[in-house]
Amino acid sequence: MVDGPSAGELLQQAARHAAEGQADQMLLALHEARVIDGLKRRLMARWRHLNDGDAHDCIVKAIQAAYRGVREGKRLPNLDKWVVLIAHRRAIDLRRTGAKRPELRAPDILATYEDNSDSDRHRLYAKAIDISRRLLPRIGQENVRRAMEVYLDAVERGEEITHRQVGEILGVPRNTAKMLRSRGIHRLTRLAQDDGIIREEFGQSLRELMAVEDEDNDQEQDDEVSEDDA
Amino acid sequence: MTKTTKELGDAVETVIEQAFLLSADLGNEVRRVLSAGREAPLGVEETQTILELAVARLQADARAREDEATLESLAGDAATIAESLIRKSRRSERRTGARDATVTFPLQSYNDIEPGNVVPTPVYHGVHVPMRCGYARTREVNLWDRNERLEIHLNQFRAREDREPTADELLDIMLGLADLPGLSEESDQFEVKKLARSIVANGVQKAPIVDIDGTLLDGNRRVAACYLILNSNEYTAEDKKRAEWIFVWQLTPQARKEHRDAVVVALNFEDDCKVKWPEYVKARKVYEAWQDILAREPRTPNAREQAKLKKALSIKFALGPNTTTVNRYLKMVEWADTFEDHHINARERDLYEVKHRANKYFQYFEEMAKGVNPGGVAHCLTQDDTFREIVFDLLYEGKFRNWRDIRQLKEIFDNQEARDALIKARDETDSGEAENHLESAMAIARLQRAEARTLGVNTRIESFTKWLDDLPAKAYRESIKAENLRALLVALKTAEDNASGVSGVVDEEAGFCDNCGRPRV
Repeated sequence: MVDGPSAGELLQQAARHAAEGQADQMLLALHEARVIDGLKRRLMARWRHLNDGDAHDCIVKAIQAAYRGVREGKRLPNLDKWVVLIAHRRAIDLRRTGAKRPELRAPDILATYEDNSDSDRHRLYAKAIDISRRLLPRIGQENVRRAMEVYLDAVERGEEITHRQVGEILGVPRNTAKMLRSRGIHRLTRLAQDDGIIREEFGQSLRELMAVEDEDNDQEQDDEVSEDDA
Repeated sequence: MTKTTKELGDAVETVIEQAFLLSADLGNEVRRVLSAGREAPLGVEETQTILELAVARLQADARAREDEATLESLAGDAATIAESLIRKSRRSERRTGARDATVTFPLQSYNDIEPGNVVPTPVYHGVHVPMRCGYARTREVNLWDRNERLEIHLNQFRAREDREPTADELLDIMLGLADLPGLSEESDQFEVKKLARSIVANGVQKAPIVDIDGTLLDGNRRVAACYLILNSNEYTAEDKKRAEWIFVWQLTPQARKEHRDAVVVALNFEDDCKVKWPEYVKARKVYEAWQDILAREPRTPNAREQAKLKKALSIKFALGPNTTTVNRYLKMVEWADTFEDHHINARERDLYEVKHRANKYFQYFEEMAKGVNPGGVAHCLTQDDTFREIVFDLLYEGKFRNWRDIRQLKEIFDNQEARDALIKARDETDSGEAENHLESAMAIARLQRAEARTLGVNTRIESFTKWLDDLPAKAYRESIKAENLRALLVALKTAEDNASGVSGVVDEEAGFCDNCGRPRV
């Protein structure tokens, strides 16, 4: 008996098929890797407000958004990550039916609109990044501000970036970079809310989404911050 | 908010969100998804529904985008395409027979220790199971939700919630924090807190075993304890840092079901034959450390300082911040020392023979140390050297049957007849006879206790009340001491309180006699 491809290999195949426009093969690979099955189980376990139909909607929209991102020329080596992230994000949005948020694309920033030559949207997002950068000096902690500059650069380019890469740029360990990013995003969100730029509900949704990355990590992060500050 | 402003607000939200999304490290969550899918795959019908929806959406998107390649790959009816995908997938499974046979949870190097093979190959339940070893981030190790240890808890959870517990909820169950009926009184049922303290002091002594996807096969309690260290305020940042990484053993991609079963059976059903240190030895270690601490202090620490030092000592010996065990050990060792001193010096017995006896009967010293106030066992033993020596002799000869005999010593202490029986038990060489004498001593003590409380109670009250009634009023002013009068009033108040719950004693409607003040019965 021959061993079949592993889940990791199937996910790589899915990303490759998506890039080649073979949507059926991508779906087959995701199905064989049990991503669809696992996402349904995880979403139902993690978000109690979902019913079966909601969970199906989250999964389908996640696959749709990730596939669209790849077809629009984004380099998404971690297709699985985007599918999982967008599914969770959609689940969070479903709880707040009154405050509809824009559909999420992967990644959904400047590079996308440069490719599409959509100058209006390009200007809109350029302005949004500019606003975000202007808020950074008010973040109040130098190392957090510097980290956020790096992460916003990545957003502007529409490229994935790892905490290790950011850590190398800043000369700090990977975990510290991750902690600085979390703290920076929380502060940036608060500043934008205080200035009336974004909605109050956004902060809560984002916190819930970030909790998916590393649940129950707040205490650890606080400890690390204290040490670093010292 | 104008349209433009709202659009800009949405764009800023997207920028902030993307700052997270582009850098999100979802390795752990992706592993959970894959693991959940493997363990609980969806039915064909539900899979068909989702795939059909996905095909329809991708088709619509592709049409809007004029994406010819996608439209070609999804040509046809969505339902038919979904059905075809499921069929192909089934064929693929039958052809290969197995999936996911590569490691999705790679071990990592940490502290300059690289992952490597476990040599020699471990054997579990008679099966050679090749293993790798290396470090993993504690938070990335999944607690094992099929652990038989949790069977009742998990079934209870599923029955109530109609779903599987999340990783957090599983941890709560392990820590006794889950709100499950019947468990409210059982805190730390799996002794995870105790284990966490041990890990802080000594590290994880035995590597947990994980599957190739990071699922635990052995070591749920150890990993839960590390989670507790990471999440609890009881531990320092340094403790948390040490618990962040855990050294594990991992199955190889070639592992089969029989390997997994062998590991689970061997580590959960077979005895590891480990014998714990006797409490006598552990208590002595704590006692010696305490003496060292006191010797290093420039002056005798006051009560508060002693409490602080004992807390540090308790943590050092992995007994936690609560000093109950340290205090217990210190008292027990003091009594054991007195016992040994008596037998070595007064009875001139062999030093090591005496120590063996002290070890054997060490738990009895805990009972002896209790009750330092009048009427307590410790008080009796410290008040009368002869009585204490009788008790030590009986203990040495193994004539006490259990610790309950020690508790009764306080009643024997005041009764000469019972003490005589105790001496006979000590001097008797025949073990059967000695036991009879000991039983007599205990019986006399029990009788005295019962008599003292209930025997002749009515007669006593009758005679006392009659005598009290006849007592002339001037006796209160001239003869009775003030302290005795106070004691009498307290006793009468107690009697009144106790009698109030007895029916027929006081007729509430009849009330009390205006002349004598007695209740009208």
